[in-house]
Amino acid sequence: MPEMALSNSEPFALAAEASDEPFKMDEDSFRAFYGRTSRPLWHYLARVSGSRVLADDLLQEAYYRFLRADLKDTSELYLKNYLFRTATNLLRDHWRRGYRASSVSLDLPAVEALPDRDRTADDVQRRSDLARLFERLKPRERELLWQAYAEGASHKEIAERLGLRPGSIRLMLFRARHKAARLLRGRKV
Amino acid sequence: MKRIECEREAEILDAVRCGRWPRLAEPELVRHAHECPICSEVALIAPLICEHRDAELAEVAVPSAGFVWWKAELLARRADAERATKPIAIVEKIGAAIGLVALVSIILSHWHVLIFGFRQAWTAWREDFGVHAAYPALWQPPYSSLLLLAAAACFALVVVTIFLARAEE
Repeated sequence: MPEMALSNSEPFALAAEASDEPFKMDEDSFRAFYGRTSRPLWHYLARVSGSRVLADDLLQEAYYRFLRADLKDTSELYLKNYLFRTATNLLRDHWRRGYRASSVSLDLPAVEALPDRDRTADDVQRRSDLARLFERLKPRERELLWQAYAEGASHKEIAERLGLRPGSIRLMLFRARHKAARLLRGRKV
Repeated sequence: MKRIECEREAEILDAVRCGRWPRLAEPELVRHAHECPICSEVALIAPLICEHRDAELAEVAVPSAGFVWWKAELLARRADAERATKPIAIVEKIGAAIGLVALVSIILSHWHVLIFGFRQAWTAWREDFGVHAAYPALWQPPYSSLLLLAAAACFALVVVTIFLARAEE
């Protein structure tokens, strides 16, 4: 389910110009925005990077940069896209510095750690399928599939969040989905 | 030309995200997903990712908003402080560099005088076997001006150091 309807979004309150507050957003607005976005953002970072620890670090760094940014708009959609874009860039910087990006779900929650009610055979199978699938996809493909199907983002939103040209999303998403489908059906890629 | 999207993708994705896929979805849409190669891929991938996301989202433990705010505030204030003191640090470095360049240029421009003076002082000291005998040679012009210059430079350095130390306090 989507996190919230866009119509429910409220622009954040701007801190007084003369105050010595380091951020433009006030604390109450931040708490509300964080409550709506932190879990999806963490999940995105953890699933694309394959590391809970890295997701924790990048989540805090992403919010810090978000708070320090000179945001041009206060709409919920703009803020969310900006936050995901920041997190994606941090992730790419991390990989650019030489860390591995290919290994996924090494330290994501194990199925055994879930409550009994969630540990059905079907659940185990599905989690295992997704983990194996993401292990064999490139980071960009993981980002695209996650944004499109987990976040339900439109092509325009995906382009804004991943820093890509809107015109190229359609083809890139098609290729990523096609590759994922072939992997799931057990064909050689 | 190969098709890369279908106009019914959004309907399938909507049904998946609302938990209607496939049992509560329109039978005609389910039939379409079986026949359309693009929608069949969407119907294969989207439920897997969506269900996984919904199941895991509840388990995700993120730091509290208060903690993230506090940490960001701390980092921001530190970054602001660093930014504010940056010009001072730059001026200090420039001052040190200018001082060094001035010192080197004085030494180079007066090199022959220095060598001559020290040689004369050394000769006087050696002849008299006493350190006191070397001083009068150094106090003769033009060496006396060099000594005064060095003393003035040392005094200025002490004053600047005290000023910077007090400013930092």
